[in-house]
Amino acid sequence: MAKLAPLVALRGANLGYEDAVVLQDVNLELRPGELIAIAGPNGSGKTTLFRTILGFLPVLSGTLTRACALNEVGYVPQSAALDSTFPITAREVVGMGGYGRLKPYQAFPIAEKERLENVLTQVGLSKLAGHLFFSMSGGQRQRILIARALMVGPKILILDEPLAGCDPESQKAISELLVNLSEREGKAVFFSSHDLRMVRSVSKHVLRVDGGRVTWEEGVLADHPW
Amino acid sequence: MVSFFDLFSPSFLLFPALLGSAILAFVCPLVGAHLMLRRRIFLGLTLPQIAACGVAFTFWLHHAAGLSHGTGGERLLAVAGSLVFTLVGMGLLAYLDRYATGSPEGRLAAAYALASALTLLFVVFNPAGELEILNLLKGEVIALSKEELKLLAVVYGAVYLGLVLFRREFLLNSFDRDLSFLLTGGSAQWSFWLYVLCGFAIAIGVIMAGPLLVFGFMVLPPLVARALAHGMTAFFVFSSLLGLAMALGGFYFSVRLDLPLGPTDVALGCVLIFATYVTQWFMRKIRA
Repeated sequence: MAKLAPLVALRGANLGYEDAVVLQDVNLELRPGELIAIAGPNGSGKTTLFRTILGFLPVLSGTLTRACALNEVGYVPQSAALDSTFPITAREVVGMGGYGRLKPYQAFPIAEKERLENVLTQVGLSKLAGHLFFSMSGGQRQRILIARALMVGPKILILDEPLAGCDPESQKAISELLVNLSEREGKAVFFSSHDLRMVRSVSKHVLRVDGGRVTWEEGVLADHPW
Repeated sequence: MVSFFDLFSPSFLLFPALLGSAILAFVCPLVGAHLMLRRRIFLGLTLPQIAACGVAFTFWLHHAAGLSHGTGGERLLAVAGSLVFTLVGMGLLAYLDRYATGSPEGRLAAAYALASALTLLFVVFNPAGELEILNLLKGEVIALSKEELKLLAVVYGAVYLGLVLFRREFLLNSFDRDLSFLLTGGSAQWSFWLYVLCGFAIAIGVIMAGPLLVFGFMVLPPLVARALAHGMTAFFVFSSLLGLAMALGGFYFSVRLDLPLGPTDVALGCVLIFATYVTQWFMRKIRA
């Protein structure tokens, strides 16, 4: 079967900040239905790669092409990066994913409410929708953030360490969800982890990042433990 | 003796002051709630002081130009001084937040100290303005004229409308700037507009009621609401309603006991915080 056109492509790209190149000569394509994991130690440049794809950082040299708009990208940050001052409910967090489709003064439409309930069901947390987001466990918070990313209606999902700080049960649930989203819904899923064993168990395609280089790990076949 | 319900009679002598106090108390907590969520609550302390400094500066300027004290133009100049100092101060602090290294809290503390010192120095150079500044610091909303009440209602109405209409954008921008960038194409513009609304509310609030009352209304009700609210809508609504309760209760005690309004409101707000947290502590103990 012919390969689908890439949604994101990096070619010969140097990534980093004005005064420091973090990753050199990055070549990467992300196509619909692909599940790609990127593994590497903390501080190796995984987040820099994500932030460049998301448009937060410019490419220092080389090219980055996107075949979809930025508001078609679902981004899942680490929940620890969010501020626990907010007395916000899980439903309100998920609802934020729909803000891009609404005019500033527009009331939340019924269609969006239905969509919200659907994505909550998809991540298996519809019963906890009214709970305070920061009173939930790490795994539950991560699934709520995935629901928020799905609420965007994304073609690509980018997840920064989605399995970090989760108990084994949540890790299993999130891993299953990522596989389903790529295999059944045809979404391109790109996630990071510093745990190489973990990513090998979830994805067939593993990128390793270390020493400023991004390389494909050959011969990896996912061995889903569930 | 004045009863609580007498306060609400339009024929009551201090009714305009009560209305002004209620408007301030309803809108300021909403502004403060946003600053609190951005962990910039000390802006709520520093900016009113910078606004007061702007007022003292314009009084001094008025005096230095040889104009007589107590004219209508002086008041208008004070409003302009408060606005300009607040917006410039806020712009400068935002610029330093973005481009300078070091602690943002340290910058706010230094700005507060500088603004306080300059306020006193401007007063020293202009003895005629001393009474005005003293009234400002005490929070003499009691002396609000009908014209000032109209100005307050218009500016605060616009600020309230802006905060309500763009609540989703401001909330998203405060909670997750990255998602705000992806969905709205730019997070800086929403930060800018939020700070402009906060700046107007603070600048006009300070000239009408003084920095103490404005800071008190901005900080105390959201602190109580944060402990009680379950969800962001509840947080914003509770903040405004608690501010209103604080203003009405404070006004009553102020009139009844012949106390200055600003400190009475703030003290009542602190009692509310104390009562809320003590009640919560007891509830937790009972549940345990």
